[in-house]
Amino acid sequence: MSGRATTLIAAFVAVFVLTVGVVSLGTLALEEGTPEQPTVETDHFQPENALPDETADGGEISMDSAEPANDVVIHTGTGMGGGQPLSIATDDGDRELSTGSVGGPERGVGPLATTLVSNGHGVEFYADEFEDGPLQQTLADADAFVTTAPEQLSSAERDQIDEFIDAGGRVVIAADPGSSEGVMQLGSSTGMYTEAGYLYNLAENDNNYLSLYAEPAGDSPLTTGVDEVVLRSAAAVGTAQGTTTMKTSADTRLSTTREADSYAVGAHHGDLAVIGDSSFLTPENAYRADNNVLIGNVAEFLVTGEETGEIGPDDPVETDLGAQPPGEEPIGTEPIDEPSPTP
Amino acid sequence: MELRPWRRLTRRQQVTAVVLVAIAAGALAAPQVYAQANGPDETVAVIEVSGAIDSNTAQEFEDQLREARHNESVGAVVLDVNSPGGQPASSERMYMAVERTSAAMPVIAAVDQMGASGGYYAMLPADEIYVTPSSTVGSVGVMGPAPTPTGPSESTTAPDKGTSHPDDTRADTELIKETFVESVFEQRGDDLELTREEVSHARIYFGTEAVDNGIADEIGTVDDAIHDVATDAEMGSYDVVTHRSEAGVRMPIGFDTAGDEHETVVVGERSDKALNPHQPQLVTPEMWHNAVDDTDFDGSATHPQETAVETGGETE
Repeated sequence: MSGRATTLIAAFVAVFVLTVGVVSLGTLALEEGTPEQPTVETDHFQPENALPDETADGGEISMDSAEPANDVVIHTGTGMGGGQPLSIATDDGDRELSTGSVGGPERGVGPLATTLVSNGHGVEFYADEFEDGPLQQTLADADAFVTTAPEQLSSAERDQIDEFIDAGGRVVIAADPGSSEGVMQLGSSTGMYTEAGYLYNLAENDNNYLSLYAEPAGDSPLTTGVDEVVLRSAAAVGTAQGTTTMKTSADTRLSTTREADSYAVGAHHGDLAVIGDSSFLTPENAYRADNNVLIGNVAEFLVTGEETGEIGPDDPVETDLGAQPPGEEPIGTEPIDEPSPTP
Repeated sequence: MELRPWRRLTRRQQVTAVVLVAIAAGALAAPQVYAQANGPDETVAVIEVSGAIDSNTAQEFEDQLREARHNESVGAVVLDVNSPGGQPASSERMYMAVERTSAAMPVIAAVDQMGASGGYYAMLPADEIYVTPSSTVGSVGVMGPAPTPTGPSESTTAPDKGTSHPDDTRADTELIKETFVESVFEQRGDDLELTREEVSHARIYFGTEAVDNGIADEIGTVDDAIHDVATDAEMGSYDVVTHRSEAGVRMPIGFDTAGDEHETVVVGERSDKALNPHQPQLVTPEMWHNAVDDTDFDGSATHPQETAVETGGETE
């Protein structure tokens, strides 16, 4: 190969390499590339920061006393007036019951009823007078009465419950928020009532603003052994003469005023107790926190104490006016026996 | 090669020919050079968030924001928001897309009628939130089915297949609410005059109230947002490119009717976008009740065609 040809090839190679190099460097310099991925702050989404606290579930519902067999009437209403939201639903989408049955309002007091029955006491459910006959007749042989739907009681039925209390019957009113007329009438003789509106707590709750924690407020047989209960929706309870049994934390608010306060949600006076909630009795809530202890105490409250005098609807005879609160009209009941202490 | 004709030309003619060729080449190159020297360097992307938020909305939105970040000419983003919320996961996806974008460039959200619940959640990481005096924003809460015990069914293999224990329903709803509230304080904690409890009340605030309590930042519209975001990005001159929401225009929402649990009524064009009333949703109460109770709901209250703000920018 001549020197001239070598020079030409060398020149070609040199220019070629220089051109490719310059163009490549230029391209690299102008290359936009994939932008860096900015990071997103996700600490507050992490499980340790985001998952809600769990309230302890479990325990047993027990009755310690050895009371003789008592008969307890449980009024649940017809389930049509609200306040009984926890019966088994069938309208939950595509799922249908293939076995079992739809739960009625009685389901909502199942744990209390089974506790009473398993401890030897009698339970009779009362929905309304059309289904179960006159309340007075049902109460005639009863020692205690529980209602979870006081708003569904007629005026006559409330009068009959007043008679029952006066005759020594123990009564527990579990009143959900809503109409307070029923509680007002039943509790007026002892100054007990529920406020209009509902309670809520957005600062501390059991996974819903309506699910309140309540604590005992002093000595009461209803709260013995209770540290904390969960009420899924509560009415504020007031009492003039009775004792407050349970209170919410101070950051609870009343829906009508939005005022933060520690509200009473339970009170009792003599043989009458009012709790501003019925949800704690339901099967799903009965073992939340110390709800099981509270239910055991309610059962105990219902069967403990003096035997009731019998009241009968059918054959009113002379009424012991002395047993009536002063100023009230005489009522058609059998004479009320002197209460005898239970063994 | 011998350029005989060229040599035949006089020197004067040769110069003239070269000048003519130079003029022709210059005429061709001049527009490019002019554009390089004088054209806007950057673009403000206006991205619309409109109607119910579901997976299609979120997908389209995340794509648009990714494109904005990857496109070097886009230097700032304005979110044109008009939404009553929607599905929680989709709202969270949009939230993260906005946060990622605001880490790369200035982002301002401007609310037309409503930026509430999931719509508020989605725009939270924007550097600023602009409202008109009567825009509605906030509603930091969740709407879902009430916890209800369910009965036995052999149609499924397990109790939690299709239903859940009331405790779990409450916990699930609370989880969504809690992360929403935490996100509000993560993004706007320094601006808020409200306590965590007050925010959790889930109130919807009018624009003027929202500016007062820190739920929003300023009274302004999309035009204000474009100008301010361009200033924040130190753009001398800029183009505006508007991305209209395709998902919002159709506004399809499907719900089971209250009366017949087996019949799903789908309003709109695409049934795969149905919101599920059996799951917690980040929507305003009005939207929830309209959707659950009124099977004739057509979304007109939040129809983007009626409420969209014309920004005047170039529409892509």
